[in-house]
Amino acid sequence: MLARYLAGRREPPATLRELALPVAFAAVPAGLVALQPDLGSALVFAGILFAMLFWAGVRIPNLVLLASPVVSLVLAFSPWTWGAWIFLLGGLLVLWRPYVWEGLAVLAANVGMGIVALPLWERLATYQQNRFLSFLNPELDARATGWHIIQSKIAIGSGGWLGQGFTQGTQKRLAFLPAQHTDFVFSVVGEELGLVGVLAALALFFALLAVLIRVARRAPEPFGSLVVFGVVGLLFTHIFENIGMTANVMPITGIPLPFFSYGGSFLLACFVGIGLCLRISREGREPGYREF
Amino acid sequence: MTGRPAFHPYVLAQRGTLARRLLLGVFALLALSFFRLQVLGHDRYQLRSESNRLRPVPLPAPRGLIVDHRGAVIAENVPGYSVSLLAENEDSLRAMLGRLQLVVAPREVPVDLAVGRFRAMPYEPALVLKDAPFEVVSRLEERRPVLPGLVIQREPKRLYPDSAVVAHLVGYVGEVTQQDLLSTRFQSRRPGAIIGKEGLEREYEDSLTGADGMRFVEVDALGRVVRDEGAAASLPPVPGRRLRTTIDLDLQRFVASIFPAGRRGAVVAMDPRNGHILALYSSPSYDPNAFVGGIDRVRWEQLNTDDARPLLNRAIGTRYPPASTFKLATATIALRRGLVTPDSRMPVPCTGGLQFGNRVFKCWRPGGHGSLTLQQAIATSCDVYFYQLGLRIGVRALLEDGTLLGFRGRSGVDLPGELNPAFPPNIEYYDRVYGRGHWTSSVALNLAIGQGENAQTLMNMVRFYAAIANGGHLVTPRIADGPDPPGTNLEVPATTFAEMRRALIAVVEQGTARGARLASIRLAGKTGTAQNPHGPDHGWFVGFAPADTPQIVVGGILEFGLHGTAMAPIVARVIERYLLGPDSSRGARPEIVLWRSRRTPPRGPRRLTRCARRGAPGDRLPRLPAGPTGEPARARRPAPRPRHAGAHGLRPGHPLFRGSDRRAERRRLRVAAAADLAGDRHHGGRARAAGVAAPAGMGGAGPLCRRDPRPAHHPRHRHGRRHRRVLEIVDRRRGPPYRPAVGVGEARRHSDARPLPRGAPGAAGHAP
Repeated sequence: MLARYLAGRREPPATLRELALPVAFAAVPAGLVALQPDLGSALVFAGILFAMLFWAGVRIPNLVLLASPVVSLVLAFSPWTWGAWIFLLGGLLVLWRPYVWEGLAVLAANVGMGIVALPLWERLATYQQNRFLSFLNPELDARATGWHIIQSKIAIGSGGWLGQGFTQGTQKRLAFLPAQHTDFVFSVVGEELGLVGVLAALALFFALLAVLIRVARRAPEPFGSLVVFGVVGLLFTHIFENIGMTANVMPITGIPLPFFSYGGSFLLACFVGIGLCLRISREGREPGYREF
Repeated sequence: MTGRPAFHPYVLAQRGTLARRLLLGVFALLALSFFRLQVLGHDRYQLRSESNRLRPVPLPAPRGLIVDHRGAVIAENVPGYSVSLLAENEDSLRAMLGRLQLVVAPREVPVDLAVGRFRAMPYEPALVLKDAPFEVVSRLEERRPVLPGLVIQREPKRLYPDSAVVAHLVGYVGEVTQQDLLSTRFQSRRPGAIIGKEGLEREYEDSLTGADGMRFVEVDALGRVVRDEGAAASLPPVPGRRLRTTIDLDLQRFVASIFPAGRRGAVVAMDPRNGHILALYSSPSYDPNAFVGGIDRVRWEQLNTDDARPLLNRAIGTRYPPASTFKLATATIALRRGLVTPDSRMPVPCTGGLQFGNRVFKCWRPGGHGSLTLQQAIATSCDVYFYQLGLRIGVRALLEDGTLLGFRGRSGVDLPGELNPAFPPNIEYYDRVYGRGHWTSSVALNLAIGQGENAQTLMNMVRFYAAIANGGHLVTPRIADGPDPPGTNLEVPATTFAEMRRALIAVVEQGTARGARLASIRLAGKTGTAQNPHGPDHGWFVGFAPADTPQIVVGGILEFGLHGTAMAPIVARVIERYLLGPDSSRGARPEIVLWRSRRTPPRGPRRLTRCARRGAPGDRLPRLPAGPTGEPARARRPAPRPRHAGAHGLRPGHPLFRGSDRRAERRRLRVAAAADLAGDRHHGGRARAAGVAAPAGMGGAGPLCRRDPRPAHHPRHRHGRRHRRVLEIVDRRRGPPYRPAVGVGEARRHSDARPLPRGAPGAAGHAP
């Protein structure tokens, strides 16, 4: 739907006000999902949204200003960082000079987010809170919430250069690593195949995404192009979040890894997306630039 | 913002490139983080991965053996099984303990102890059963699937084959306590480790303990043992060092077998040339095997509250006034200072007492000994002679030289718990205790005969006599084999000790220890009777043989023995056994018999005349066959005539019935075995007498006539007319040798033994 809308416009949304509609498009399902609660999947929506907005031509500053309240929310845990962010934001507003009202709205949104941060934090369920805390310091609660991260890091770290051998990983075998076939499958890759395997997997993912971007470029019409880039966004969000989670770079959310994680529905969704892209790529192979 | 189409290929290409670059950047970031984990942090994570899945299980090291000087085993190890549980957390441990209680009897499973051990060391198996029998272990192995963290180990446990015979020598072992773990000595030991608590086990703990090994078991995330062996390299345990002692186990067993059962006392046998302890026995004894694996609480209470205090090592842990045995020291001091010669006589001959100030200090023999030389005085143990000798030496010199001779210091034997002897350091001591001017030189009289503020351990006296035996070298007693520690040389000329030895030979040949004379060996020794203000007196005897070149010195103390002569035959037999070997004791066959009387000895001079009443058969004293002492044989005792029960209540068929009822009031009972001592119901509460004569030569103390049944006794007993017991040991030939059984783990109580007040026995008596 988003693709349809964005493709239909002659010009990309230029101002924040014009961005409101696409954001709403994404926000509604994201909100529903977030209330499930499944913050991770809601994050995916945001990832897709931003990818498509970028591909549709929204200017970077607008994207940054759009994302700024979220950043403010995240940084609100410490007054100093939040203050620094507000200061930076003020500088950016001056630099980029959006419309005055829009600029003020952004500022107000940021401040509002900062204020709302604390009650929001307390409204979070304990496990969600612990996830964020464990992300910053896994040793804090080593036997419960930090367990995943610690075991994942141990598994990856004990892989070394070449790993312990396919199916020979001890952490996996002795059940020290939980969710080893779903969310933490990349830790297994790290443990068993080592750095070499990790780099190979990363390279493969990169190749996939690069090919998809090329397809998006060659798509004959904007709609198809946007769809493909949406798929790129989807895959990228999943990949980055999952692999980052196993290496303690990103907080833990229940995001599976495309084509690796065990779980039929997501695999199917990935393949459907790939299928769409293939269709669009076929069209793009035809030479000629079609008028739109 | 104007004009440029949103999806122009050029623009798209730009965005595509940008997107690709962004992608590359993110992936590079991820790759970098992985690099950091996998390459830079590899070792750290590898280690953590190992520590995740491997759990250490300690392999206990066997304790070193303790052997005697020929290699016979005194303490050894036998295999036992210990059961432990590996658990991830306390709840799973409790669940497993619950399942364990279904297999083993519930009260055998110490839940709280196991949980405590788990809390102390959560990553090691928590010990549940220390010493499980094999069939329990096999039952548990069958149920391994329900007990996932089960770890069964072979643990060596201690065994003392000779049990109570060596109890006070080797001590016992036990688990290390919480307080011990906090101290610096034991802080590196693991909870549940076995350490020595008493005796040689404790003294040589550091060398007897080996080093525990370690093996690893592999566990999964739930704490289940996945792989028991071979998960990682294991460290083999290092067994403890063997401890070789100077003990002669054969002699030790012999000492234990002839020491009268149920009596309290100790025997120490030592080689005077180098201070090697050949035997050390203290009675009553206990079973050290009971302590292995944790002692039963009931038994522990029993051992601790027993009046006879079986855990007390009476060879080094109690002090008694040395009494007449100290006279040798007095004589040594006097000879050294040139105050007397072996043939000197004292101005006042012994007539039963010596007047000093406003009191009469009595001699043990009421009739007195007459005028004696020093040698004779030692032989007959005349108090009056030594009173005068003490006065001649003077208190100050006595104290100084007493310190020089080693009566103030510990002997230094390598056993824990040795008491310091009590001996006044100097004259100022008396000033402190009594106040200046409130004491007189009468303290010298008491000191000279070994009473007064003088209390020595058996080991100390044996050491002193060893010095007499070897010519002036105070050895340091030693049990463990090794380089001999240096002793001290007493600055006394060797001739003095030679004279002492001659005197000591006379004691045995003609003096107070005549009952201990050996047929084929020249024995030298001295008796002593320590006054005990709280009960019957204690008997000392220290002797060595052969008298000219002594190879063994044996000292013994018998609590409530009443005479040193009671102890002498035991010591003599020990020496005989050591010097002549096991055959000697089989051949001579003397019997140790205890007899007891309840009559108070009357005071006054003894009638020495022969009894005029003779004639009727049965009235005559039973005559003994020639005993080992070489005394002339007497006629055998006639068969007892059937009589009605006399005043003593014994019927003619009674095994203890002796003689006629006419001697009822003077009859002494003969108690033939420990059973009588322990549960003396027949003879409780009634004055009775049995007619058994001591062989002539109990210091001239035996009754010569039925009508004169007074036994030898010390006139200075303070018990007035209350009933007291007279205990003698008589060597008689009477059938199979006496073999008292030493109770295992229990002390035999003398039914009439009074519980001693605090501080007794052996509390230093004060000046009379």
